[in-house]
Amino acid sequence: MSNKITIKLFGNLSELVNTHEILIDFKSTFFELKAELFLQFPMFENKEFVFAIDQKLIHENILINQNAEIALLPPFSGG
Amino acid sequence: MTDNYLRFQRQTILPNFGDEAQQKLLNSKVLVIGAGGLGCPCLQYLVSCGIGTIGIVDGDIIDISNLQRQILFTTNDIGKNKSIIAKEKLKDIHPSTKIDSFPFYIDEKNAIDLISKYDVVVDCTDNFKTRYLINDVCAELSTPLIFGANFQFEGQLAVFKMDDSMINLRDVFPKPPKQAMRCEEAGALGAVLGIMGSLQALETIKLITEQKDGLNNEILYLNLMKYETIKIKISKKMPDVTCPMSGNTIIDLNVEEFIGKINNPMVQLIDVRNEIEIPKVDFECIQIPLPILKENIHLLNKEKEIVLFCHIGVRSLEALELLQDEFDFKHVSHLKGGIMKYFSMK
Repeated sequence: MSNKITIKLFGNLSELVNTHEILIDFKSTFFELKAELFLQFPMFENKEFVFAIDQKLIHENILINQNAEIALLPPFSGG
Repeated sequence: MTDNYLRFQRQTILPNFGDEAQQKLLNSKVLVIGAGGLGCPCLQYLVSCGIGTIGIVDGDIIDISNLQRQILFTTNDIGKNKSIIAKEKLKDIHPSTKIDSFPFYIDEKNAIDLISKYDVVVDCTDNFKTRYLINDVCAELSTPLIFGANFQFEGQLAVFKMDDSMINLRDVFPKPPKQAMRCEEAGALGAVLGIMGSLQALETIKLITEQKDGLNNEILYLNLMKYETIKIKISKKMPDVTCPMSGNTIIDLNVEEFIGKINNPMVQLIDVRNEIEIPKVDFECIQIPLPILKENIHLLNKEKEIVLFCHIGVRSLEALELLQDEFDFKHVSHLKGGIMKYFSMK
């Protein structure tokens, strides 16, 4: 039985999957988690967004803990 | 004197506010770029709270489809310029507010001149190209930027203080995104834009009155349908990070490094400004305006080092990315801050 982690979606990403939250298998590093995300949700792969983990923008590979709060943040331009 | 006392009494009695904070508002100059869905509510609250000087930049003409969200405008205003009409509607709220109307679009040629006259800039525009221009010039001039944007029922709010950390929009999204839905595709609801524009006014007020809980190089995402928010701390991206989109490295040159490239036979210096832009440079270079760079790519020698420059460093960055992504040039760099930096040093 695998552990799952919640990912919150903003902007046009939630439209793609008809929900504002998804569950994927937990991975303990950022790069592995990203790979897992694209594996389970391939429609995200060519979309533009950044990752926020525990309220910080993440670009480099870091360790993630089980309780991490993860969000995918696309750019908005409307005004 | 008495008018101001009575006029602002309800806010000066707030905790951590007082006459001191009010005076800061009265002494401040705020430039609002975009008088549309975000700009209209933002401007209303900035004028009414007592900001001393306000600039309004917008080249758009009022259209019937604007009226459901651009709440300064009425049916009679259709066909008129937004900046001019916004000033008309706002000027009687607080007659001693100085309101300057700029009924044209901000662009590379006028951006520095416009922004340098104000203390704070509020980005209420609706496209990435303009947003990145505003961001880059604010970073250049160390002018704080209150960024607001909307997508359907969600909003994005950020305050880039342009302090010593130099954190700015490119530390969140390094390059202007290619995919963007404009509101005629994505849709927009007045009440949602009203909230986001009001938040921009609120953060501007917090910044000017030095409230400790203003956003501080942070970005807030709001889902106004579900009432979910997330506040994110932005940290500086490492300077030699590769561009996440293409994997290529973006190379900025400072003025000294740029000067070192002049008259170097292994280097091609390319001026991507338009023909009419002056002053022209006094060293040898190839002039290829950015709009016709693609069809003149044969003038560039891939064996040489290509160094691009423009007015303030926005178009040259675009040209650099074009050469890397579409034409696979490996040795490209550009003059950060543009040729204006070079001229200011001479």
